[in-house]
Amino acid sequence: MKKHSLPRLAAIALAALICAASAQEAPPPPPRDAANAAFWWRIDNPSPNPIDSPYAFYQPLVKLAGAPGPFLPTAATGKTTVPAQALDEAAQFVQASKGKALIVVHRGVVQTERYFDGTDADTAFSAHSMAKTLGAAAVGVAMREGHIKSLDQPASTWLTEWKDPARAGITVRQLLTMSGGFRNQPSKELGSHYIQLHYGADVEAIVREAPVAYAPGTDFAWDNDNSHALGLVIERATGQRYLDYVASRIWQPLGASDAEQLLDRPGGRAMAYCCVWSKPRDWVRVGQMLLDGGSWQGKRVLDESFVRALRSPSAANPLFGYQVNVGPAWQDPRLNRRALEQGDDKVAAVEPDMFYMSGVGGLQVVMVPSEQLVILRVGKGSPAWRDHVLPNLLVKALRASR
Amino acid sequence: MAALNINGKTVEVKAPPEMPLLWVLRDLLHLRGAKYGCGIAQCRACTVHLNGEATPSCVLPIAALDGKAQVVSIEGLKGRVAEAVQAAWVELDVAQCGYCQAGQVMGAVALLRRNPKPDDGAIDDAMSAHLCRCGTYPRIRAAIHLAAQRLK
Repeated sequence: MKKHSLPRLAAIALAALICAASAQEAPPPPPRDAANAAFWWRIDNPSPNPIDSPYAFYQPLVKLAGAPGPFLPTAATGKTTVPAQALDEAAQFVQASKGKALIVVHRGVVQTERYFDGTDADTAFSAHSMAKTLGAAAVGVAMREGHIKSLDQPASTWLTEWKDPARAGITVRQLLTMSGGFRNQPSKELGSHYIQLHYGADVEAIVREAPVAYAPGTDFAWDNDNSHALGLVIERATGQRYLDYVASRIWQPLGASDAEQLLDRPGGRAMAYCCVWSKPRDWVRVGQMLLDGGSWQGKRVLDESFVRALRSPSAANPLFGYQVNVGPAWQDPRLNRRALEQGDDKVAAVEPDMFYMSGVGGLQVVMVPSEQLVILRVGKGSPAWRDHVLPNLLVKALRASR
Repeated sequence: MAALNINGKTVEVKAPPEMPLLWVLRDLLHLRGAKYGCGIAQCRACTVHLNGEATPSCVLPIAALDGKAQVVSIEGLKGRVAEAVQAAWVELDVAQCGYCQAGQVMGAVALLRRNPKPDDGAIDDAMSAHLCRCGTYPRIRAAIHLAAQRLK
């Protein structure tokens, strides 16, 4: 891919614009009108812990329709291909770090499936940012179907509100790799873009107002604006609602069960950056499909070449692909808030050829192609939880057993 | 007992549900065209067609095949595209040691059925997962082009 350098003048103009934006006070909060009712409901009903909110705090939720189909076979007791001792150790770690579910699949066969803390296979959880990878997969389907011709097309092809020079050239690839130019600092100002990003009642307004903080493609910043924008790109490129598209092209072919997705407001659009209430096994389906190069039990969902690209290091950050962590991403403080304080930045991956979906609070689905492993952990955040423990433990055990 | 549809016939095999398809093909049905290479779906020597898709069989537990799944191994490959690919393979003398070639042929046939006129990029996209230690890649690419031309 050819890299374009911004003409000098535009770069200076952009720098001036960015300085002006950061010096500005946050705009006033939106009015308490009908259009913003969903926003104000979220503000007036704050969750005790915003990164681990109970179900009731996700409003409105609508159905992401599934089509339940057979899951993967399970190894008979005593016949696992991953050493039983390592599976026990993994389960103990998950239980001790506030985990609720652990599923390990090796070569397409479930090795262990454990639920803790009163949960079972039917307990739904919010997949948080793992939903972003689903959005990236939807882009892959849209390419397969010809709705998007190239990832190097400007997103403004569809996001026509991005007319300004700072955003008109942002490509779909830059959005996928979190290098679209967005970097929102955390803020408590109700009118700030940061708050709108998470609680706003209008995804289109969020995307319309997304402020650019660096020249797109020149840096990496894990920022939800990228994911919101992708959701809209998919809707407008395919002419279908994001949820309908994800349901019919991905969720149902995988045989997943009904799930629920947070909308910006009643009758509105999917908050594509997060908040799919779904069951653990259904994320193992997504993981196994990605591990198998885009097909699930003989049904092709994504092109193999797209999956290969999705899990490859991106130009802006070698530890990030298309809305998915690649390799030992736990080392990067931009992807793991506690990387430095915990020393995770110094922990290598036993098998660097891995990738993982990740959600706040230690949600993860790890895929290790060279070992044919899929590992899911769902649960709450805990200081005892570390992203690298499960993949390193299980890969090491598999290798020692040969 | 599991009932599987292999090469157009329903066969009953006595195998545990987690047994990968490749073992069923080679050890139980004595169809030895699909090869065991890496055992972890990274080399594609074991490729078969599952509902028309080129699929590695070494990590596909038979329990993942529903009753309607159609499996075709290289022994059961037939039709215009398959014949054109096989003829091109012979004409250009593609194989060297040959170990990976059954998988390569399965991959090439699936590709041409999906995309009758692949360019180099599409061939590389579809075929790059198939490893060949002899390095026959240029001949594989040429043979796919030749077969595509014949099929016009």
